[in-house]
Amino acid sequence: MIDYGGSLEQLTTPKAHVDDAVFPAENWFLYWKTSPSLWEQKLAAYQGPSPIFVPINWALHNEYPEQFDFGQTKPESDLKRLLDCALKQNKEIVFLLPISPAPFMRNSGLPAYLARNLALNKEGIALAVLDREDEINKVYSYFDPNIFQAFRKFVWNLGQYFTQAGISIPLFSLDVERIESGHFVSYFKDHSSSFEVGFNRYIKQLQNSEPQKVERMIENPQYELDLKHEYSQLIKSLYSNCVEEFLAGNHSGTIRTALIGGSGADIFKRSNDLWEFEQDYFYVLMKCLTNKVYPCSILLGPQVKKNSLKKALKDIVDHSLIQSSMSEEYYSDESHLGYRPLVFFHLVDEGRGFFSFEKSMDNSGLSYFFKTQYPWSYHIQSHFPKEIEELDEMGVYFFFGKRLTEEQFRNILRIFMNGHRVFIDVSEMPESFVKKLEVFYAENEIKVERINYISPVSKATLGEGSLITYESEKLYTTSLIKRNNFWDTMVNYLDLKHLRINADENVEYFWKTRSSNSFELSYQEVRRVSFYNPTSYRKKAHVTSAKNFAFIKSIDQNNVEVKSTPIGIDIEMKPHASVTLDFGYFES
Amino acid sequence: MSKKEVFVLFNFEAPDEQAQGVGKYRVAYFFDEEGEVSLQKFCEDRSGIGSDSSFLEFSRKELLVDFVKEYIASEGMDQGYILSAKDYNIGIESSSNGKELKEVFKRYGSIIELEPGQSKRSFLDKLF
Repeated sequence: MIDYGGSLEQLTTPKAHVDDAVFPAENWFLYWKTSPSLWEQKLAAYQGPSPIFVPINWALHNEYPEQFDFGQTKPESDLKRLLDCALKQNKEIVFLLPISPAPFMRNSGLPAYLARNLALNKEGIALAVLDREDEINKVYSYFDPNIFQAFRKFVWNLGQYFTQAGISIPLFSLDVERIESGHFVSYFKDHSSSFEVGFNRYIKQLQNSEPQKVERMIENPQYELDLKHEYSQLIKSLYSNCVEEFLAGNHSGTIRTALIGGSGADIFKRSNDLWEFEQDYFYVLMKCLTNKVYPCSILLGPQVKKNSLKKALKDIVDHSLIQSSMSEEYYSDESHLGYRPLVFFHLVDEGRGFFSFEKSMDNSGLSYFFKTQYPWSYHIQSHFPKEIEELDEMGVYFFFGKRLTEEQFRNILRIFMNGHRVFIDVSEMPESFVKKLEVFYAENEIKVERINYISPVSKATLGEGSLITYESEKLYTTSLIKRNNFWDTMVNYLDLKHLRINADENVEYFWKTRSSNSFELSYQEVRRVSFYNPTSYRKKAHVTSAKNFAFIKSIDQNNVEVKSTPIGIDIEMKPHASVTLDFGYFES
Repeated sequence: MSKKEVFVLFNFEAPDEQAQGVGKYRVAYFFDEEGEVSLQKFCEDRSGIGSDSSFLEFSRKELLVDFVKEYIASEGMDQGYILSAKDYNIGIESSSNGKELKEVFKRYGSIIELEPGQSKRSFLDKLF
């Protein structure tokens, strides 16, 4: 470790703690997997990032109806004792209370007496995962009213216990998800008969309270999907509100986590050693970062979580990512010296109804452009920035005109006026907004350049700010190469400072950044790129030298040869290799 | 040596009123001994499959069976299993680990074997 005047930078990745069932992944501690007499010892040995996440196992504390145990009968259910052990060892823990099925536990955390109706995915297939011990954890429908009633009682009792035991540390609601066909889907989402029965009750209720919705559904069957989504969200909010109500003193927010290896196809892949490959899991890990979902490898066993995947998990799931999963500051907080993901682009949409960022990005060619030029250096956010100060100064913001409200449209103009860089997709944007934009340009005497390059493009500049409009529909019908060239040209306007990388197929890499410290005065910023070769083949990558960047060092070289040449850095990777390179960025 | 097999999980979507009684047999997962199979190339070489949809779907179960047989023949495999989502859901209720999960296909699924006239393609057949 090097001490930079109070801040510590670790030159190598910390050594992994011994893999065991109690700490099956990252910072997750499963207290029921060992005897309470070993808790303190296990916590003392833990060297990973902080705080430690402790999911509460409902089934352990509520084995039988109306009976609740917090250490009175089973010592392993004594959460106060666990907290005391952590405090004694100076370890920070936070409790997580699942508000969705949590299939890293047996019956997804549900007490056995409630595990009755299997939840189904949209194909009608029962939801289940394979855990790291090759056990099948089935997912049960949370739309069963008996489950909600029992959950409410459990949370009330947990709240009482926390108060009586004087437990005042933070508790977060936990929404457990997985990725299906590129989309994050909560295990709460269900298509079983339990859901259908509940939905029919909801429709009957709507017939009295909001009959226009039911009429619309009869006229347009597609609207039924919207109502199902609305009902699903409503029931989910009941679970969530329950935690907020009964654990008000502890409740500190909701953490969304995605289980790596938890998709529908993964249960089959993982049932056969020959079908499971570490490279399959990189996509989920990286995708979590772009969507601000906390990645969790708790289902994966040590046989797959080794080599480059293990290294990637350690590099990515660090202290700052954990902090960000508990707050909103990760991508914008530059005040600390720790590394955070390097994010150039922010795609924003807060419109009502279903919207697929993925589809929109695929159709316009943005997905391909990001994948080839700026892999995983973008962020998808489903809430509109409330304050200009919240915005990332260096970030480029994308908005979708057809989904904007009047207020959001006005805010985008403010964002531009404040010196930020903005893209607006004006396809299907209301005519009134198009006119307002022209009036805005005229009133403020803003210079606008207009060109026709695949799509009509306008570029307005005001000080540091730029506002570029384009029509994504015009891009849909052109070839991928043309779409990619379009984005290359558009982004070149912005003169982003970045190093170009050419890597063989299936080589994964990921950028982080941090501010320079007092020992690095020649640089404004230090950028760190980590390469992983999860395949069984030799692979190459090349970082092209660029003005304003200087190579500092390579660390954590594992089966890799790194050569610095005048035109850049050559990286030769053996199977399952990994390496990290640091570059300094300076203004010329 | 273990047998070369393919495992197919499909769901049956009942016909809606406007579809005039035609249901859909839709492939959800398709695995062979090397893992999940990308059927894009195989489907491109075989016309009329899933042409209007990103899903692989068939109007009759026999067509699904024929498709699996063709795949088995083209890949030189021994046999395959097809399993409906409904039967899978019953099977998984009583399964507790990965080994038992694979058995679900064999216990609850239908075995697909080539008929005597449909010989497996040899290595040379694939080349020419």
